[in-house]
Amino acid sequence: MKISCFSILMGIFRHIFGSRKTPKFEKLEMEDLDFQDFDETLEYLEMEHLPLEISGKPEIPKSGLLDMPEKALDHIFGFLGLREICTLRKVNHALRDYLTLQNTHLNFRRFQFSAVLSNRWITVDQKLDLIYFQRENGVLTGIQGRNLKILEYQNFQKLALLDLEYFLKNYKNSGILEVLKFDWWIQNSEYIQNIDEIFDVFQKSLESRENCLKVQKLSFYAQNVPQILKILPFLDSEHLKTLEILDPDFGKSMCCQKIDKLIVLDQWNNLEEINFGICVDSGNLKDFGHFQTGKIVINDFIFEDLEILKKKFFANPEFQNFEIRCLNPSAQEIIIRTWETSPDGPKLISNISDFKKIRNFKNSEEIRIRESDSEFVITFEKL
Amino acid sequence: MSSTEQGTSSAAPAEPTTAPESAAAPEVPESFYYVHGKDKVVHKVSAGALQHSALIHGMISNLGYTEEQAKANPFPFENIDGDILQMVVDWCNQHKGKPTPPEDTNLPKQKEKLFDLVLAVNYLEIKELLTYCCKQVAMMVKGKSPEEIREIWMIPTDAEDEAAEKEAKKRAGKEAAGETAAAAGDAK
Repeated sequence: MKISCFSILMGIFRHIFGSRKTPKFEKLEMEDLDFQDFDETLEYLEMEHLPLEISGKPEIPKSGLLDMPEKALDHIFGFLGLREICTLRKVNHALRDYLTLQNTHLNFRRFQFSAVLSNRWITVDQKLDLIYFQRENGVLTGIQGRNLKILEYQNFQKLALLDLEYFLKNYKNSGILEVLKFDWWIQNSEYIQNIDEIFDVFQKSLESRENCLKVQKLSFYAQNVPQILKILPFLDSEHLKTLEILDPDFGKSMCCQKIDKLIVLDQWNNLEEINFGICVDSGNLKDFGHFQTGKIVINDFIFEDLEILKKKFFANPEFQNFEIRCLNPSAQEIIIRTWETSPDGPKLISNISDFKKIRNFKNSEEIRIRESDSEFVITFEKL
Repeated sequence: MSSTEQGTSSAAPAEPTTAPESAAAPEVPESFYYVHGKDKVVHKVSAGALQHSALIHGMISNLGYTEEQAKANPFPFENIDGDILQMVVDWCNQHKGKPTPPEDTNLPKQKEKLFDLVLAVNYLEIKELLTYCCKQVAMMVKGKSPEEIREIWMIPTDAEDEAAEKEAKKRAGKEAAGETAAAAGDAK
């Protein structure tokens, strides 16, 4: 796949040229050619009845597409859509490498990477499913529903990550991705290693982009803040409005996360909506005050922090609602006792089985408290 | 398409084939140039038609050949098959001085010919024709499976690629060993 460079050979009669004013040419590269010299040389060749020879040698192959010059290949691939490009990446190693190195500008609205045991999926715009399923003799891969192929002696994770990198790196700079998702959940320790590798590829791919990837909603499973920091800081801070962090352990782990490294990020401070599914350290409760809407899980809290948060919420004209799920039911008593004794505290307006207590501060601001055996939920809402 | 060695074009050029002339007679006499491919068949092409080729246009723009000089010095494109060059010349003549249409359906259907045409057109830098050809090459694989694409575009499998690479390495090793032996022989 070399671009053929052409040269102009004008005779090889060096001994004749040597005795003339005419510049000595055995081989001229086109870029070196001065047309004054060229004319002079042509005159000379004509006078001496020497042939003008053009040796183009564009390396014209009798073989396949991959022997075409890059310019032609770029043209050809430029006519193909995402579906075809994805299929092409499964044809052979050389073609995949070639496409990876090209400066392609992909465009789509939604992108999801999913990892479950020995299967990987990439879903683009909810209609293009690329699968990477481990099989005994290799990886079953391609576009789901058609074009599946076994790539022998390949690793499903490696293949999927190559494509993940390709999609993230080549998403066009001017494009805005509506949703970027990464789904997985905890299976076993070997699987966790694979997940760490995926996070590393997310970071590497996003970091290597010329411009930060513009995403409106980021949604992924993460066990801890270091995993979040593999993705969040590398997205464009102006466009990211919604962050959804889901718990891959489905609440089994009670380990709470300090989010001090997140709250300093522009990406965090420009967010409007949050769904933080992993337990947040109680010291960070105040750091959610700028959200318009959200849900968090917390193990415990200091009542004063809850008061500060409440003030921040209701002072924000854009505020809509915020739900705090507290994993320590006994903390509820402190809230109710304190609020009930406060002259500005909420008034009990109903007592039903689902929402055990509903209290409101003002007509337009409502706080609902719902409790169960293991947790209670406080919801702030501007009506 | 393999390129031939240079040094044969000093022989008398074959008789020019009749090139399609432009329908509208220009007021100023048009200048003509001559090209030939691997088959040495010389094609007479007007400067207007050759403007499609950035390569040839760049070469002739400063030549100022007379008709006789041009005839005596056909541009030799030894690396382009005669029939492919004929296609290129025909296309240039057909589209001389005209805006190029959005589609061109008169391209070869046979993939080998189409690939050769892409290479020739890319080399001659005929932008519009390259676009048509590349689009046709791309359309060949729309909706096809990886295996079908591999066959259509004549792309080797990974195993074939690896085997070819091994073979190339082996050959390079042998050549290097041969050169070393020859150098040692020379030194003696």
